[in-house]
Amino acid sequence: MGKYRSLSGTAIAAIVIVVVIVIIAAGVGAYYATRKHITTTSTTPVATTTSSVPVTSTTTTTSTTTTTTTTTTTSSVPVTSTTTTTTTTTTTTTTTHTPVTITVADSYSTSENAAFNQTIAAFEQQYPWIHVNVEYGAQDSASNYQSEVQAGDAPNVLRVSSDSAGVAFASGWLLNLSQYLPKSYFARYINVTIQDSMLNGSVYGLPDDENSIVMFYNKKFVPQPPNTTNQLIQIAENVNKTYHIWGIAYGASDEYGYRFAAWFAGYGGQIFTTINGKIYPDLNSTAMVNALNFWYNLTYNLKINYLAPSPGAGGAEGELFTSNQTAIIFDGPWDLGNYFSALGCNLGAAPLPVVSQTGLYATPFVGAQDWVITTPSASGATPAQINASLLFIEFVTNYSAEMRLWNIAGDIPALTSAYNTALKELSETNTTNTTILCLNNIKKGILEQEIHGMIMPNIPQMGSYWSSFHQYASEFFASKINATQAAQGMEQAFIQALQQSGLLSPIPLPNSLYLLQEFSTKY
Amino acid sequence: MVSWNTKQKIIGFLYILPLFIVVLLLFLYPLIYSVYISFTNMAAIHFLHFKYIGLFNYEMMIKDKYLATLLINTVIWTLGSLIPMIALGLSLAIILNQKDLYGKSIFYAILILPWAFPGFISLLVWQGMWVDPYGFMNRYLLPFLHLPHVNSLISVSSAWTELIVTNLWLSFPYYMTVFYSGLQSIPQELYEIADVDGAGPLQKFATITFPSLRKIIAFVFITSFVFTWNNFYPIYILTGGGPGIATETFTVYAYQQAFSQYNYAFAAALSIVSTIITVGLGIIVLKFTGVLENIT
Repeated sequence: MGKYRSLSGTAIAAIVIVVVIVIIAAGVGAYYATRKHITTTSTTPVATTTSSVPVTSTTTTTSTTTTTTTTTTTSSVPVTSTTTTTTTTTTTTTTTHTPVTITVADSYSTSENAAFNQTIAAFEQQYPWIHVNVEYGAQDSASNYQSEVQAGDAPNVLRVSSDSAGVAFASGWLLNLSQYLPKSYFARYINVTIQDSMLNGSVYGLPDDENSIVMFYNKKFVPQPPNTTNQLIQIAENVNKTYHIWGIAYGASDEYGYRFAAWFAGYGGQIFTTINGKIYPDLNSTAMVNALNFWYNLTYNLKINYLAPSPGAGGAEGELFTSNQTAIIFDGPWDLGNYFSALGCNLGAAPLPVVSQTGLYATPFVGAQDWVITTPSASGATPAQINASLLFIEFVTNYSAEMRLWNIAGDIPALTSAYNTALKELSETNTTNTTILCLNNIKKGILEQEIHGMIMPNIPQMGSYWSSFHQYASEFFASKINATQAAQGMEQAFIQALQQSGLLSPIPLPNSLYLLQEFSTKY
Repeated sequence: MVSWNTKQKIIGFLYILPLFIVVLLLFLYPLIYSVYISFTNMAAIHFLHFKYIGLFNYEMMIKDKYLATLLINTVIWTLGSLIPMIALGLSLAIILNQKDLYGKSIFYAILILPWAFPGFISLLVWQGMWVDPYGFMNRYLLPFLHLPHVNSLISVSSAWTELIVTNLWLSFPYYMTVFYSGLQSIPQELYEIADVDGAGPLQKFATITFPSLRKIIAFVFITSFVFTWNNFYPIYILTGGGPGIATETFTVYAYQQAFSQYNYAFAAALSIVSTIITVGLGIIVLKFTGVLENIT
């Protein structure tokens, strides 16, 4: 008995209170979680039509109004005043909409948000019963909202790159827009952008811009951009000798294959091939070996390329470019603002050059940024929210919204009509404002690059490409292996990754991996 | 009639019940869920409708040609970081513990500064400092010390140097602080008696300081071993596991499997194996040092 000390009544009471509080808290949490779930599933479904009309109720009222108008005329003659009294009987049909709130995850940059905020204001003015709750600064990746999806609490609408959206759509997280909008609706977008927002014939996103990397050059060192890789080498060597700065800053060893894909394609390579209906990686090719060796030669033998550790305006490549330490970099129009503010009219943009060895353009991925809608099971959306979401994505990808993005942030429109206006604006601008003229010239270069691009594969298998490429490319540029071993290694790693994730199975490829033909014939 | 012993057991259980509930929700649930999904095909395309596939993920892991490399890299990373960190932390603690050291508080405040910065921000700063040839290290410090440039993009040894030096800078204040508090708990009389007996500094360290700190060193070693084994940010930010997979550890590989390749089940299996290895090593070290007996 003396071995144990008895517990005081106060201590027992305290323990019981703590346990009760924990149980009550858990109970309350469970209740709310269940209630939310019940609300979601018990809402009466509303038939969705292509016009995406939200839940409404209509009432008819009749009113009689008496209006008194006084007209005063001011002239050199004495002031005269006429008063008219009119009695009108008006029958008014009032449509009452059920207020609805949708959550929107926004991945725009600061300058893009300036345009987007105007679009939001216009949307809420046009649809006053829809309140848009914007979550700014969303990350552009499918994996970033997976836990929200699993919890059934993902945002109703989000803006994400077309390839990430492809993975999310294949995972069943996104609405199939082909079931809600007619085919003719998608025809209004530039073919490449809608192709890139489509998987197995189903459209999952409406694009608001198209993008790819482009060659930015500093006119102070490079008056005319190179058209071929031979010219690129010549210019870079000249810059190196004359100005003692880097000709090119391209961190081929640190990238995951997004930019390198352009050079790979320029040497005639392709990422995927199909064998008996199955998708197989196609990285182990002469094209990959040649493309790797090309950049190795420029980096280590000719010493005209700086193997920068990080890309983009905020990375080493951008830092060197804006501080006049390198003449050429490869980056996307999303960083145009930074480069233009640093270099002004010295900034030039042009398509990546033709690979002299093959006569093919170095063709970068052309992707789109898509507005997508999360499925009700992933977001807990009611039918009214789904309808509101449809209205919203239609609105933010309409002519006005895309022109706003073009004019304020320089985003290339995905809507054909807006794209054509943008082209027209560039060619017909009648101004003496040097800044606008310079900027227009740069934008022309960026638009020209879009012609020489290829559709970025948006199939889930693409997810295994990036790290497989990175692993062996970085080993190659660290001189641990040769180009042939690198090409073999990245293909084996790619296959292994697909096996591990169960993706080495027949999933049809997009109609064409290349947009070169159909895109260039259209424009 | 409930016996007195049973009643006491129930009361004892009530004492730990709140903690048990918290542990269950915050620790056991994620762990059990990870084990569960490691036996499924949960990946991007099966995210909402995954199914049980037995040991497939574990089989794939064994067949994975990178497994041995990952294991070796993880050991290099863990021991390569831990040994210098403990050595530096202990050395600085001994220096700070000198009773006749002037400005001790100022030195201590300066030395724990790395701890005051958010780790992520420090890593981004270090990333910039290592850029070859423009960063501070390659532009000023290494040439000043007549040391070769360090560029993790082109050399494996450079990549390890970059990682371990950066991790050392980030972590030594913790070790220094723990050892410093341990040193202050050693009775001063022991050193005075040793002085009377004519013992030198090394002899005092070997016979008084080190034996007194043995349990603390063992404790720090075990906890830090587990922490460093799973430490993800330095590698992910500084080298990304490269060149190739030369500096890739289990944790970084698992992260990439989950969030780059959307292969969540395989990533979970990797994490489970990593946990088993860590727990196994922890048990061996605990048994070897008996540190837990001392604590309890």
